[in-house]
Amino acid sequence: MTGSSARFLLAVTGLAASVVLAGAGSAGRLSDEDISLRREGLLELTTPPPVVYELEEPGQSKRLARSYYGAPPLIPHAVAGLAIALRSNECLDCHEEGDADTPGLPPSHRVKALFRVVPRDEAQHGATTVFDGFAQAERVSGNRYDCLLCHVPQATGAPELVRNDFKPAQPKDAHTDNLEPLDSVGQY
Amino acid sequence: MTGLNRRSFLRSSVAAAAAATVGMIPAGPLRAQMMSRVGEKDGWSWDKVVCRFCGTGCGIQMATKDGRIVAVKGDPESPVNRGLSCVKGYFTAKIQYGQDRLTQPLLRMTDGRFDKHGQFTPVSWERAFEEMERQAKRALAELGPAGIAIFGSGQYTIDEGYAAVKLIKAGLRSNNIEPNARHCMASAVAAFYQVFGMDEPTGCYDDIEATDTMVLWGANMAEMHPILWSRVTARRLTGGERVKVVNLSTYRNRCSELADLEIIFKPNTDLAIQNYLCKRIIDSERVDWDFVKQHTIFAAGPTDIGYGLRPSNPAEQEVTLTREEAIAQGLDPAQPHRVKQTHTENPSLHWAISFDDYRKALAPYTLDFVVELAKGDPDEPLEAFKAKLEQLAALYAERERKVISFWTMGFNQHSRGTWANELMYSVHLLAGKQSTPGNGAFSLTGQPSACGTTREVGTFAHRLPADLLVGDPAHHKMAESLWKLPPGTLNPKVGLHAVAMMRALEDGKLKFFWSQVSNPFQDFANLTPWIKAARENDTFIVCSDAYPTVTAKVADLILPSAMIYEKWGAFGNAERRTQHWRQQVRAPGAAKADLWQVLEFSKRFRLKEVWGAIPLQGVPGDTLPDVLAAAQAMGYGPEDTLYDVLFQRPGQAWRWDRKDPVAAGHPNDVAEDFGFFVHKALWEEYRRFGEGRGHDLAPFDTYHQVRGLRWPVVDGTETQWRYVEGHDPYVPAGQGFNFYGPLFKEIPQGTLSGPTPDAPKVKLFSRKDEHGHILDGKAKIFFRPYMAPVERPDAEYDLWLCTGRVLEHWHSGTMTQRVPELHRAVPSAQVFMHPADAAKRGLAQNDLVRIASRRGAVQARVEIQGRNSMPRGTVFVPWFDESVLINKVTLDQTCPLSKQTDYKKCAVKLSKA
Repeated sequence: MTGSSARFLLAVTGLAASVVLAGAGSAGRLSDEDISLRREGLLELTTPPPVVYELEEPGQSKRLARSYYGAPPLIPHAVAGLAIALRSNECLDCHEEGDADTPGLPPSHRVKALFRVVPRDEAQHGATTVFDGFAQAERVSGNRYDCLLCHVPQATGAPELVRNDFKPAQPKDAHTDNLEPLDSVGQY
Repeated sequence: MTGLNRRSFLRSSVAAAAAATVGMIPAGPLRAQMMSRVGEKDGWSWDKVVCRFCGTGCGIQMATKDGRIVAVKGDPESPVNRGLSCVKGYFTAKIQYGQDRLTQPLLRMTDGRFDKHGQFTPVSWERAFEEMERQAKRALAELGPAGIAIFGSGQYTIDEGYAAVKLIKAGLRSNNIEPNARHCMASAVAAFYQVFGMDEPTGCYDDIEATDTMVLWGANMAEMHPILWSRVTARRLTGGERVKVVNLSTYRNRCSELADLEIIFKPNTDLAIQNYLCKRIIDSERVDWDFVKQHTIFAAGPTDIGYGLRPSNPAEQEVTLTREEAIAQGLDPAQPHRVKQTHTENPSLHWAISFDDYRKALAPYTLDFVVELAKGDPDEPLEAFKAKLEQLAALYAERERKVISFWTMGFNQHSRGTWANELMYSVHLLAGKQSTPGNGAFSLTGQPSACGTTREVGTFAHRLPADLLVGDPAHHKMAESLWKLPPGTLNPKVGLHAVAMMRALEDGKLKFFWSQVSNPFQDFANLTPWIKAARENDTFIVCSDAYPTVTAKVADLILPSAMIYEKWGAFGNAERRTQHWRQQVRAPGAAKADLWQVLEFSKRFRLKEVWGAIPLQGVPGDTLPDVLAAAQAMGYGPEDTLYDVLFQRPGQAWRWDRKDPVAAGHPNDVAEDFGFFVHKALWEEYRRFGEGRGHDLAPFDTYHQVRGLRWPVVDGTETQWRYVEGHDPYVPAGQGFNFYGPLFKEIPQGTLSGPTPDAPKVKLFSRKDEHGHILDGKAKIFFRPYMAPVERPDAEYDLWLCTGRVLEHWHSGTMTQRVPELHRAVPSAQVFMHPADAAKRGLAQNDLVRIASRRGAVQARVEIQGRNSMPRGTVFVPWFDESVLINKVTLDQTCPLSKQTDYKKCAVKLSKA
């Protein structure tokens, strides 16, 4: 089966499944192959599609839309070979300051939450780790040094498995620039 | 300026400057701004919940509007994640909106009747339970309580796990309940029991900020515990050059990028490295003798314990030691050593040995021997590897240095997993680096409530709540009293462990199998026989899930479940922190919470059906006693249902009211359906099991005011470090340390060759106080030898296969593959391999390759440039992808003590497809 016909089949059966699962009557009978992400029998060999990240080089790519207000931005460019290492962080080489074309770190990434451990007899509500507010950092917060914990690139041409019905919303008191993370510095 | 030059220019400055904080921002206005709740003007409503991925236990702030989730962010006030979430955590916003959510029960039917070979047909809950009842009662009639099983999860909420245990153990009198956490941390548990006498870690996440040294042993934290890794990273970057990070692994992963030292070793040789560290601490006179003499004892156990394979496998009868195994056990390597496996039935046996014997046992673990045995990258020079092991030893041996050792599946999914855990404690106990701030061997857990639910509630074949054990008469007495059961109701025979359940399905000894919050037919090693048993044998498989999974495909009945934020619940994370949340939105269609499903099913059984005399092999008199008369005396009638007795009567005192301050206006579908506050009732009953026994928990309402508390919570205050005076309320003044866990505290004594007949037992405490608490309790420093994996690469199957996870996907991908952003980030499970191994087989990047073992084969795409760099001879395949069912290839071997599967090593061959 070619890649495109496999995708077509997926879309059709996915649609059928969602109609049925929403409550069809006798017509809603399903075989093993009609459900789940895998259409082949469990004892058969499958042929997964190639995994391709045909992405622009850093500096050449266009920003991707936020998934929802405050979601971490997805990486629109190639990351192969970029190192986030103990003594160098090649993401920050461009993004720590940023410029007209390159998003820099939002304030949230330079703010550090302060937690303090107190003796048992000083614990409020019994909690011995106390939230003490925030500190401003000059550079990136150490907790946010490993960019790939939150920001991920996107493969190109990966067949969609199942549609997702999440509906993002834009609050009125949102920052006008959707590139600002939710709650700007609140999400540090 | 070119990109390269720009990078070089900045390179040296970034790390050193990271998070150089300027100072406190005044609270007041800025704090208000930071805590502000965007969207409230549009009707967004924010509430604190808990992340449902990994064992870290991050706090999340969730925004809902009109009954739907619209946004999430890390909870700034959570002491765990401090406002940050990982990519999976952020996308919890979308996990419940996949278009193929299950919204009504589906039963395999033909012509209106159940038919195992029929098609899935939408049915009502009434029809679903009717068939479930019929099938469960048929299995009970044919096979007794041994013929039914529940397979649960480390993603069960605490109340779900507790209700399931109570139903199957107290109601149906079967101990056949297991979680997928058996595959995840059973080895950690077995070692906690053996070393300390009680489960769960001694320390907490605050250790990260308190330590100088963080050593990762088979724990790719950068992908599997991302937010803990963010704390490790912050500590390393801001703590100065004294702070060190070491990454030990069988291949290079992302943690290596930020590590000061990377050590790549061969599968199972972690045991040899650990023994070398112990020997080195002793030889360099860095033993903390004051601590060791006062608080520890040396111990050993049998080595002829098999590999957890089926008893018919030749390796369970006899093995021939490898040359290295012979040396590691102090035997002459020139002689052949055929060893009969005589302790497969009692592998946990252990006895006290002298320090002289212990030292003798360590003698073979010289640096030269271990370097030659353990070096895992064939391209690394021996001298370079040797220097690294010496550096590692120097860190553990440095008297003033604080050290935390972290591990997860590398140790736990290991054919000697319990041993690897025990040896880590040996290293730390010898050096006196355990149970104090910044010092300790710290077993991380994989799932969000592997600790809180499966371990603390005890959703295992051998456990009852709060470390009570099946088969211990005193423990049964306590459980029967708290559950208000007639004496003798509980079944004293340990049930089937997870792998044994699959084998029993195949053998016709188990016929009714209910999977909840789990995906066993994707998760278990050596899948093919289990899939066939489910589809072709006389079995009835029920799958409760939110989405159609592989397990749903092999099931006879699929039940649609509510997801995490569609119900109230609580999880317990890896630092003993218990966190509760409220229902945020309602489940779609007819989907119902797993707790609702358990309680509804319990209505289908009357006492007269399950509490009479029941034949059962292996219990006294081969019969479970008739307890109906005693039940009658307690006010229960034979026509009462298990729901009446186990849930409704004890729970009715707890009223549900949406105006309750705890409810804060949130819905509670389960409470509304049953007419009482089920979650609170179960919680208040459950916590009595641990009260005064070192497992104390706070009242239900308290958890809705705090960001979780770490147990034991005594007099309203949590505990950060256990077994140490000043932190643990169970350690009286003057004791310093007290390893008071009560299990295995009186053991035989012997030598390296075995226990000495007729020698008196050794007591590991001085006395018990008036509450029965142990005083002067001791921990055990175990000797365990290096042993080779049972299946090793040979001329035909010439590569090691290791399996695991990736950051972007959770477990079997059920949720994360339905989030397009996460799916596109990693759309398929690839096989990570060394370029030379690929070239040798004529393979290039993205080529389709067949990966075959003696058990099965899959096809996947080649990855030679990705996030993991494999040494020659080893390949890695993640298991999230149901289109690449790598567990058809893996081997159903387990640690014989813990019964946890070793998914990290078996032999495979690769060929171009």
